Amino acid sequence: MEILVSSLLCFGLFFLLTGTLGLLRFRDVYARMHATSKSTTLGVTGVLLAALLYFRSLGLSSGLKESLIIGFLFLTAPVGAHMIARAAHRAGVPLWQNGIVDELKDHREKDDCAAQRSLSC
Amino acid sequence: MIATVTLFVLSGITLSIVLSAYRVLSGPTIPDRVIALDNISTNLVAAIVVFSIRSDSALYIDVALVIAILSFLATVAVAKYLLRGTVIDDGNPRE
Repeated sequence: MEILVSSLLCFGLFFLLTGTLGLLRFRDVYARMHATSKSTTLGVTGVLLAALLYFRSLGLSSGLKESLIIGFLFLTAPVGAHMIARAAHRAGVPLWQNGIVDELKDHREKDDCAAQRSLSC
Repeated sequence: MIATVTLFVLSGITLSIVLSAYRVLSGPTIPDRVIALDNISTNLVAAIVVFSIRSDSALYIDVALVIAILSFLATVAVAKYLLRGTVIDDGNPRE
């Protein structure tokens, strides 16, 4: 049991450090969000699974709260990341200089043209 | 064995929080800082859970749950503020 708990803790630490490394090294907001939102969710899940197993094996906790935090993080981390990315795109934060695809920008320009019905589009 | 591993993991999470703080201080745009703060709070949840394993007490799990909820609320509030200019929308369109 101790070996299982320890390996789950190290699994979680690896993913948390990977997310932070991506936050430091990537070039624009969207890539940084891509790095942190997914890998930190997985890292915290590993740590919480370790806590669940450890407290269940000691009989200290039923493990309900740990499962609740895991479910809550899986629901809220993508929602929060999506809201921040949408706000950043609206505020006009650019892609980095070698970024190629910006489908949301094309989509919104098309919507603006349809709304204005201008001849220049 | 558990004591050694939790100490190691706590040191790693602390390193991760310090590195994210660098991005909070130097992030070129506001969304960068928000992402870094979100990352710090997620790391803090993990640190509290590891500390709760280390001290053999399941009480700290409640603290981790509260911090997870608060960090989500803070992220949503800042995103609303960046989008609309207000946090609580009163229904009137912005001029």
